Amino acid sequence: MACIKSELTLAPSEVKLFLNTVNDSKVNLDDIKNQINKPLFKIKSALRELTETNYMTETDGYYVISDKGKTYLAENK
Amino acid sequence: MSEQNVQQVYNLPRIGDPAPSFEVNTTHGPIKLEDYKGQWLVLFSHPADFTPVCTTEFVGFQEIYPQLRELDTELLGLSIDSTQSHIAWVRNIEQNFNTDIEFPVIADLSKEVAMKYGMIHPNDGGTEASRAVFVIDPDQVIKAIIYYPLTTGRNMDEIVRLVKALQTTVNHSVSTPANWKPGDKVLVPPPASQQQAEERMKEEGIEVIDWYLAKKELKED
Repeated sequence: MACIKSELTLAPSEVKLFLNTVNDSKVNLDDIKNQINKPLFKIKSALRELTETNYMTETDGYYVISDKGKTYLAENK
Repeated sequence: MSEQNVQQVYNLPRIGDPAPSFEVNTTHGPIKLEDYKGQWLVLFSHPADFTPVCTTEFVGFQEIYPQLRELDTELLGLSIDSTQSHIAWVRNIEQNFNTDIEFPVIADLSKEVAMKYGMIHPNDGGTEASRAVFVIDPDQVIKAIIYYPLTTGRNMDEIVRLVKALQTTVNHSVSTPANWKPGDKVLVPPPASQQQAEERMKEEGIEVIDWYLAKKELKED
């Protein structure tokens, strides 16, 4: 077990990729799948991680960036 | 019963059983079995990172990964090692073999998944996972299981062939004969009644060897 743990397992480039995909409008899994060239399991896992850590929210299958996600994008251009 | 005699009994999954669920840490972050729903999955275990047979197998698994993905099939490795060990090993394989391991590897330090899938065979590998392969269908039902001992590396072509054969069976309601490969004739279900058997012997358009054994070409969709 590592002595210190990151909040996310996603790499910064992946966080930005997913947050940018949901930044403009609310999108569902199919929309995201069509925009991101990654295996489906990876997309599902990343969306779960980003919602569990409050970078985005999910309601009825639609994903929306949160204030925390917007701040992350602003600070990591 | 003395403590020495207490043995935990696990119900090992069998072909046709629902694949046991899991939520795990991997080299690609946290993954749940249900993340693979709707796709085929090849879940395999290996004894340990930084070991010779396993290293050759990982290079082999990466070589077949593009073929599996063309078959809408994902690949997921597992051993009883930490994520950090997996990362170091995967980086080592890239350095030594110029091979980028693109599929995730489960860090099953608690042995939870290995136990659920019966991957540990104490009389062969002690506490290490054996070389198990589980082919799981899009409904997350186990369709095939392969076990190899620690000493023997698996045949990657056979794993691809197995996935193709299973998908052919599901998509066309046929069976596949020994050594079948795509393009070969497939086996039609045997007659279920005497009348069917009678008619099977006269059926045209298929190769009837005997009433219970008939082959046909598979028409591509």
